[in-house]
Amino acid sequence: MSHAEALLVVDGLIVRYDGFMLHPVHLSVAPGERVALVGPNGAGKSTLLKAVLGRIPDHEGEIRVEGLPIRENVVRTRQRVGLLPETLLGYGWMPVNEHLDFLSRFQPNWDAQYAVQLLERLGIPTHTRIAALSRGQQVKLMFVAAEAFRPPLLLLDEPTSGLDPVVRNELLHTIDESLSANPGRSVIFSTHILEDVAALADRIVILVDGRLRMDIGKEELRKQNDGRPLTEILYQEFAPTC
Amino acid sequence: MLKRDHVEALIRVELRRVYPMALEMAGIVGGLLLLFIVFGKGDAENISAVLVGSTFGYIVLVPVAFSRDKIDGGLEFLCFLPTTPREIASARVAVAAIIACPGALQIALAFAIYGTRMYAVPNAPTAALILFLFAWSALTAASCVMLALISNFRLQTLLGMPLIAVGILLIGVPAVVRRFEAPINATLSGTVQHDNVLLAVAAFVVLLILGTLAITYVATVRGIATYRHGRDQI
Repeated sequence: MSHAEALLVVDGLIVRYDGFMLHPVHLSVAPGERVALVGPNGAGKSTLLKAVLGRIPDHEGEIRVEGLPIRENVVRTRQRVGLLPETLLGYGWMPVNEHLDFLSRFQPNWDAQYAVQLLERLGIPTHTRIAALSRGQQVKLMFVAAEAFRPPLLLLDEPTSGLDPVVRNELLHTIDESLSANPGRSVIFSTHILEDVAALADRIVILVDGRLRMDIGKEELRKQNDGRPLTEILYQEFAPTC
Repeated sequence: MLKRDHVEALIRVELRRVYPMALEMAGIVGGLLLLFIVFGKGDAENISAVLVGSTFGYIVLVPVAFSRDKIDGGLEFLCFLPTTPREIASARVAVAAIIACPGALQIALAFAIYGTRMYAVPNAPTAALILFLFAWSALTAASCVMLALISNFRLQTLLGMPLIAVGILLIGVPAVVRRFEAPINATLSGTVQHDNVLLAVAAFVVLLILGTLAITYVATVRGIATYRHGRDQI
């Protein structure tokens, strides 16, 4: 895949914080790819996702979405990339319907009908204040907010972390269905739940201590390990770091 | 370029949150005035003092809401939207200007009740209107100064030296005014009688307010652009 065809190109990304450094990261995501970003806490997964959305302006290296550098196109990038954040992003006092209406003002491709469908499907009450929602409902709402404008690239930061198995499966199923309905759309999701990787990803990127340790296709990894179940391979190979 | 839709949406959300607080404040002022009247202290001087003194509340509403946004992640939420620091800052300045209106109205009212007795004003309604406009822009500028400070500094830092400065200002300025009340009143009375002097003072004040607004706007944009949640919130 050439850089011209890639949906996302991360070229030599370096981020420096106090006591943390994301070492030069090179990553390219093609349309339709589902990438699992696996790594322990503090590995730099969220930092990488934030940088892709232009939230870390003082980074080094270049990030391009659909061929355009994000530095000069932050607003456009955020209209082409949906984010499900690790922690709640929104005003707790705002009811769900107002929150989505507010977001729709910034997204030209917002599909209000689709948003309502997703809310109904995921069982999120529309007139409840965000702060009054359960953790699971808040995560599902963040997914609706990220998905309602059908962005070509979805970034999901620890989407299933802290969810009970029922909600987790419901969310994973909805994510899978939404992406399958538009095969050209891609997703990068960070996780340390290996079952999620097996369920959703077709490519695995391992990040440890701010360094990209491995970038491999799911099938290739299986082949290299005599077709063993992916969770087993990941658990044996990478669990100590995750 | 500012996108009108974006700024409008940001203004609406901010107003939705701040206006109940502004209404509460107006209610408290009304209650205080009622108490003064009920207890027989409702003379022009007391009423004016309450009206003028309570305007400080309208200055701090928007900066305080902004400070809370820095702490609880509301600003982080806005920073992830397809918007720009300029749009976020513009919306806050606009809301500060809207919220300053009742404060300016109170000052104009105080002038109408008390000021017109103190100074020989040839055209009181026009003077009250001009005073309203001056007060409105000055209160907006004051709010913007606080907004710029809060967007650029941590709350911890702001609770240090600047707070001491504000304390000195709040105690010092009234003390100086009381000490020099007579010459100030004489000067003011003389000034309002001379159109040219009044015009020069007005032009200076307008320039001062515009300059303050411009500087604080740029500083607020910078503060928002460099804000990172988890690092700067307290």
